[in-house]
Amino acid sequence: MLKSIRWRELACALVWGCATCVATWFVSLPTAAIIAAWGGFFGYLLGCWLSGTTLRLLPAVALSFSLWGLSQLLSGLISDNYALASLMGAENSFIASQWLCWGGQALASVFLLRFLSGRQSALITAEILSVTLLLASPLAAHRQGYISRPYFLVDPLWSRNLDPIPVLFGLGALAAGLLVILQNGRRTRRASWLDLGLLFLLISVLYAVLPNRQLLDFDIRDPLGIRGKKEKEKEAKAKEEAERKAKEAAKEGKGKGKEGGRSEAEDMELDKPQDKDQKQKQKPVAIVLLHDDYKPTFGYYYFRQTAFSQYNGKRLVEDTTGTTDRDLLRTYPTVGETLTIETSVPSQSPYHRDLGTTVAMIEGHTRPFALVDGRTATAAENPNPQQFVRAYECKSQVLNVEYKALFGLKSGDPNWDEKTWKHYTELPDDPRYQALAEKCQKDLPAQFKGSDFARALIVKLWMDKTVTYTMKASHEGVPDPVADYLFVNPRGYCVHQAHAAVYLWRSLGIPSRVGAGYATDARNRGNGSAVLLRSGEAHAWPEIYLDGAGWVTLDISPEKHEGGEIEEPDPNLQRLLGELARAKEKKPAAEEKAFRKINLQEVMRWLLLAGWKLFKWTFLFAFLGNYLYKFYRRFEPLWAGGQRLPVAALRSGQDQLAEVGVVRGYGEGRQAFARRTGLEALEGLTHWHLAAVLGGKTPNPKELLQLREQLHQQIARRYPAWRRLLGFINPLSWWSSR
Amino acid sequence: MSSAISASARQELLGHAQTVVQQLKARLTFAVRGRDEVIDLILIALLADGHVLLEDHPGSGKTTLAKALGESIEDRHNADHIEPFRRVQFTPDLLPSDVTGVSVFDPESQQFHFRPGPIFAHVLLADEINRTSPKVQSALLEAMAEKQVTVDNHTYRLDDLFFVIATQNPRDQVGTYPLPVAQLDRFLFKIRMDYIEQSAERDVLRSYRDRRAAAPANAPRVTRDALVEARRIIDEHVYIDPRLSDSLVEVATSLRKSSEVVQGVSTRSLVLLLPALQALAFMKGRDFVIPEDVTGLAPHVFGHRLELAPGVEDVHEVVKRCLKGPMESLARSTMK
Repeated sequence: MLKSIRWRELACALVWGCATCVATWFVSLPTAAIIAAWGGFFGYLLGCWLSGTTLRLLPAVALSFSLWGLSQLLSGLISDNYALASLMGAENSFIASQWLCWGGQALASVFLLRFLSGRQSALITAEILSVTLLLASPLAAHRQGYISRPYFLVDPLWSRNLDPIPVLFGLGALAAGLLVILQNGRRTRRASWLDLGLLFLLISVLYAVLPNRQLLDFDIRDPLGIRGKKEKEKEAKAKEEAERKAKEAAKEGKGKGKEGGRSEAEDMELDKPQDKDQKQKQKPVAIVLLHDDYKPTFGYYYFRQTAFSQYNGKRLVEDTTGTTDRDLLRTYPTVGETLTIETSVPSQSPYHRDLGTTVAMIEGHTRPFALVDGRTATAAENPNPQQFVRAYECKSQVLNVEYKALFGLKSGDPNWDEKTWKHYTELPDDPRYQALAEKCQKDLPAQFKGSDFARALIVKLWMDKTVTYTMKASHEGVPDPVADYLFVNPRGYCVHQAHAAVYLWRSLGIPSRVGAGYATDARNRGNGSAVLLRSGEAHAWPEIYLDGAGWVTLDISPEKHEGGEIEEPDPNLQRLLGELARAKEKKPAAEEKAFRKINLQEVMRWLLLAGWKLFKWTFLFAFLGNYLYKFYRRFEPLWAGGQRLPVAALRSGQDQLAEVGVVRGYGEGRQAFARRTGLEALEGLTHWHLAAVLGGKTPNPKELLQLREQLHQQIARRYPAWRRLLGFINPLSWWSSR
Repeated sequence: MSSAISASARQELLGHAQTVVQQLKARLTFAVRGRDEVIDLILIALLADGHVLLEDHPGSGKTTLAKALGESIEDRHNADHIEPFRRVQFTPDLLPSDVTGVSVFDPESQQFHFRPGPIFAHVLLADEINRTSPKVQSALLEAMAEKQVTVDNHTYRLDDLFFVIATQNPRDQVGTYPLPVAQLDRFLFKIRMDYIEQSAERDVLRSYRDRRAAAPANAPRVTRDALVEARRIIDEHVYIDPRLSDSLVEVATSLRKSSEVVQGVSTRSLVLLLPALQALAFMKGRDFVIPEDVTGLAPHVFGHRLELAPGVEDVHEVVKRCLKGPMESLARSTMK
């Protein structure tokens, strides 16, 4: 048996082993896959051996089926038999049954296939087809060009920011290579293995030349790659410009810049409908990683970007004096810088706890935001410049108590001067606000009459019941849109609610303001630590100031809704972005950078180009060297002497004959060849050559040169000039001369 | 190469030997028409101190050939009274002593005297060797290998020129004892004699009467001593290049490796091949061996020593195929 197995068959057996292993890997235990691989391997060898013997077809088929049946029977026996299972242990018996099941199947089926194809060579097609199916089955999810599938393969690559295309290409090439090995296994000529090299060259050329979108250019804002590269660059420039201007403007105290780069949170107007299409609402803005588990009291995470506290005669706007609202994060921290925010929360507040967050911005934002209430902000290294615009870390003090714990607190700060008090309690000159607020107080239980928080809360609860949330409402063309909203048509969105609540509270003398930024439902976080903020979650909410607790968010949550809800975020996207943002924490930065720079396609192109250049020069040198050598051989008799002359003379003559296409056959004797050509001079040259080389004779040089000259003339007489000239120019003519 | 004598002396010696061989050849070609190739091979075997096995149909001239060969050799100082030619027809009931000879009791001298059998001859025709029992076959084969026979614990030397032409019929196999490969190995050549060409056959019929009358007297005979001397000269003065003998090893290896061959050739066959190559080169008028000599002789030398795989028919084709690689590399090595 050993003698009849060649290395080609071993290679084919290995291919079968791979195929059965791959196919089993995804349906059974890894160890069972390895057993199946051995089954395929030995099944193939068995098939090779038996197909070379005189075994008849029927017994072979019977052998295969009985092998199959036996393995299944034993497998079932081991796993189902109570006594055996208890003897071996449940786990062991399961493993053993799996081994038997898959190993036996592989052995029996591969044996049969090989046996059949060994008898009928056309059945190699069945072998190749089977291996193709086995190899392709785990990748079936990729069909129809789903770039993101199969998940087990693509997800780990994407989370490391690697392009799956070369990997899929590579797997395809590997499979094709295995098939070529299998197909070549039956041929005897070694040259056929050239196919394999050519195949790999073809695939690498295809990969280098065919356009394929790299994940390196992958833009989450542009997942379909609709925008051109130039456009993107332009956009990025414009964004930078806008940010720079905004910063300058902020420094000069002129408020925010109006040109480009405005975030949703800043765009909110009181008098325009905010109805935007669903897709825009879903646009990711940032991913926030919570460093610790935290469930907010209000059920929402509030990320404050700005606050509107100054009444400008029509609505509340950002403070322009620069004296109040100093607890806002106005600029991004630069690298290595830690911004400390003058937070309104006392550092030892019993109502708060510390919580760290990492914010990775997906959209360019003029201003940063922080989970309320931010205390410090530090620039963090961008974990993934392709995905994120920037990242920073925030330390926040988050409210950690129930509302009722706040009931005893006084509103406002006793240390405030008159101006600050006025700033936070100014409202439109409209008595209806106070009248409404006072009306609400009637429902307040007597024991809470002294609590500012309770008084504010009862107003909020009234509003929850009364107003309707809708993005469609507009309160255009009226001097006071809030009054129009509160007293005429209580339908509106967050800005209306926030303004209305603030005006009502301010009419009661409670200092309050509108906070703006993003708010997201705490339930969206699921079990992860990543919170995805989307453009649709831009929000404005009312806040009141409590002595000892700082600005406390007391958001209105209307019971009546008219559309405008945003869908829950895609948990996969949230998880993926979270992993990308977190990647930095896991790996050393240097390694990551070096890793990312590799562009396989570029490398392949470079290699091919280098190969081509090398080939070009090598070819040129080989070409010239070839000519030189050809002429050296042709004219060697002119200077060769002694024992060398007979060899040189015969070789020169044979080369000249090769130029006109007359060559000695493989294994043909020199004398037989000379006789075949019928050229007497060649016979003479051959005789002297053999006498010199094998007989130890020393021929007469003159006679040899004469013979050579005669041969030249004989050839010239027999073959036309053009034929000889063509042969003389042909650089390869001497290759066939033996 | 022998360097003790000058080149001209060497040429002279070779010339003498050449005369002897030409005389012998002339007699044989006169006696048997249309068998030039077979005659050449038999002469080569004779000069190379080997034996031949002829495989052919009855009446193809093998006895004529063997007889002509025997009659061409004369022994002027025949001290042992060795016959130039003997023929033994091998039958199943033949005994070894019928071939080797037997000790006979002489009542006069009260001693046993050895009476030599037909094996004591220069040329022995062992007709239908496969018809006799293995016992007789092995007695003959021992004599062929050792050039001696042992009767009653006494060893008798055979003549140096002892040359066996054995024949067997490839068709009529019933009741025969086919020679095993180990015994076939002792023959230098197994020669297949196919029917001769029409023109040669016509020639045979036309010249039959003339030849019958003129044959013995026409051409000069050669002496046993001259023949033995020619053997020695060829052995000493025909040169075999080491590259050539190396390539013989390559041929043997490639035959042993071939998938068409079950049992390859023996080392003995290679040793036997060397003098045969010398003889062939000599007969072609050369004093050195060239690759074509190997291609010419190898099929005849190796043909009967190979056991072919089932389904492979033509042994000469197999040998020719296996020769190609080694011969090619030999041809290339001569160009360096």
